[in-house]
Amino acid sequence: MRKLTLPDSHAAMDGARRIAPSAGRNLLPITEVLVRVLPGHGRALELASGTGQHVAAFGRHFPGLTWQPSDGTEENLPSIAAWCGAVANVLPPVRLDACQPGWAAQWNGLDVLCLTNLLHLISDAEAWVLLDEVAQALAPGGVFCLYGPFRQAGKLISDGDAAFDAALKAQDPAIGYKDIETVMARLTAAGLTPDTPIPMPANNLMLIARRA
Amino acid sequence: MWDYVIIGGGIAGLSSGAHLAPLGRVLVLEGEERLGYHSSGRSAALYEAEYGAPVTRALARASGADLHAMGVLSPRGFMVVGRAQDAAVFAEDAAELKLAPISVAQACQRFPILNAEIVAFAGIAEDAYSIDTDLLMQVYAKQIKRAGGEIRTSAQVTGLDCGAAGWRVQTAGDWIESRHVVNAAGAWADVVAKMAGVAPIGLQPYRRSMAQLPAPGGLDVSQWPMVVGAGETWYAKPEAGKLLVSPADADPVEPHDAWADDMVLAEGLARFEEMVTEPVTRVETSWAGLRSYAPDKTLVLGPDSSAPGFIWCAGQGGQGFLSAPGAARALAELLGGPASGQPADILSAVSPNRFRV
Repeated sequence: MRKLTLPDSHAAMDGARRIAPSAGRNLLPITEVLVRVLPGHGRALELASGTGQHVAAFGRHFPGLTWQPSDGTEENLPSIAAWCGAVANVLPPVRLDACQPGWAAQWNGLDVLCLTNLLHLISDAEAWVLLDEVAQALAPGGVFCLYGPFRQAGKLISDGDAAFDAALKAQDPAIGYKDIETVMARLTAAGLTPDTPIPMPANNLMLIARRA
Repeated sequence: MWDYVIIGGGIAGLSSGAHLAPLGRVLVLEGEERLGYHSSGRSAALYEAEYGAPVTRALARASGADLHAMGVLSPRGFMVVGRAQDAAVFAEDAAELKLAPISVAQACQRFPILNAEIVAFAGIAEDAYSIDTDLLMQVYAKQIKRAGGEIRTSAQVTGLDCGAAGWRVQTAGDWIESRHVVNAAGAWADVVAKMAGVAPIGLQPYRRSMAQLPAPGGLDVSQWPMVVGAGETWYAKPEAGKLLVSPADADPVEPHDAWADDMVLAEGLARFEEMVTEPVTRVETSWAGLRSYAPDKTLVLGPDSSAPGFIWCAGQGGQGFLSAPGAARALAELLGGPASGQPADILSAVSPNRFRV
């Protein structure tokens, strides 16, 4: 895993819990979308849980689902466990590098897969592996919820996005914003049916894709 | 045998109690030593009806007449300011909050410490009012008592079970019997539900912090409006000769007696400081409250189809005071009381049964 310096890298600590300043701000707009698309019951896997603050909140907001947090970085697991320990329907976190091919063989039959703010931090090749695995991990009728900043119609849609994308590419030329249209095409090719992306605060998008 | 045992003595429980008291015998149980100890005691206390989810706004609009009549409102005004780079966010806020655009010079007249070199956009809603939240809770508490109801503090609920004859509620070692239980437990409403064997609704508390500053430059702040950074990135509100400044944080946390996180506060104060000419030299005191939301950000009001006699009054988020009279009237209607004036689609949108399919 590459080490990146991000706006949230200087996360505060509260015991084992790390706090990402932007985590709270985008949560309610996300859950307002999720409440319309998530099933009432079933198994949910969050990829790249990071601090674990989001998945703890998803656990409380959607108590009928059993949530599995995961992250590719071992050092993130204690913070995730600390945030989620008190939430009965969130399982202990597991290490899962979603960019490595093959994980869907172990994690299959999922009703829900969530991914927030990762695709711009990985390379195109890693992203396409991740999306292919996501498609295979979902059960028929399963739903993939993808949130983050994207290029739209080939363009970075604000000065802030252009600056962030440039800052990422300066750290690693392979990473940066993905085209939402390419992401949708990859998901379609992998057997999912993406909805029209939903505009979210701060120029982010939420993409919902389902397996038939 | 009570008709309604209401769990929670914040604004939700007290306003509901006042509107349910004409329908039956009401008992309000508050776990803390005083009413409104948690979120209700830490409110920004502003009545601005165009703030929040659409359903909340309908209930807030319906609350204005009651709040005026109860004498708890005083003129305040609600101003949003943005920097040059905030143009898009400011435009969204201005449309959503129905703000009247004003010049930067006018904005500086209303809030004299604004930095005219940084502020590029300003808009104001004049029909925003400070709410005397303590008085409002007292008025509702009196209404409950006058109607024959009772309020007990230091009465934490430690057990809840449903039998053939209704509900039994354990508090302070006693078991109390009631035909209905009203869950107005704020950040703890899902905890109460689980205690009752009722499926949680999906409430998540979000922390909001506040710092109290001395009046900037010793100025008289009493006529200043509340000012919000575009995109709700911070806000400042005059209160009793002081200036309250909030980072407008929304960190998801577990239900607890909240306190302000120093770093969150410092970052918020820096965002405020960027927009004003007076540096923040001293924080007199700070605190935090929890705004608890359902996943659709909409209030949860009414009987739960999965548990006879179990009634929700939860998910007020950051809009509990400004929507309280409208929400309490809607709840009373849902329980067989007089028409609230709310259309059927609003009454069904707030029902807990939207989560029960």
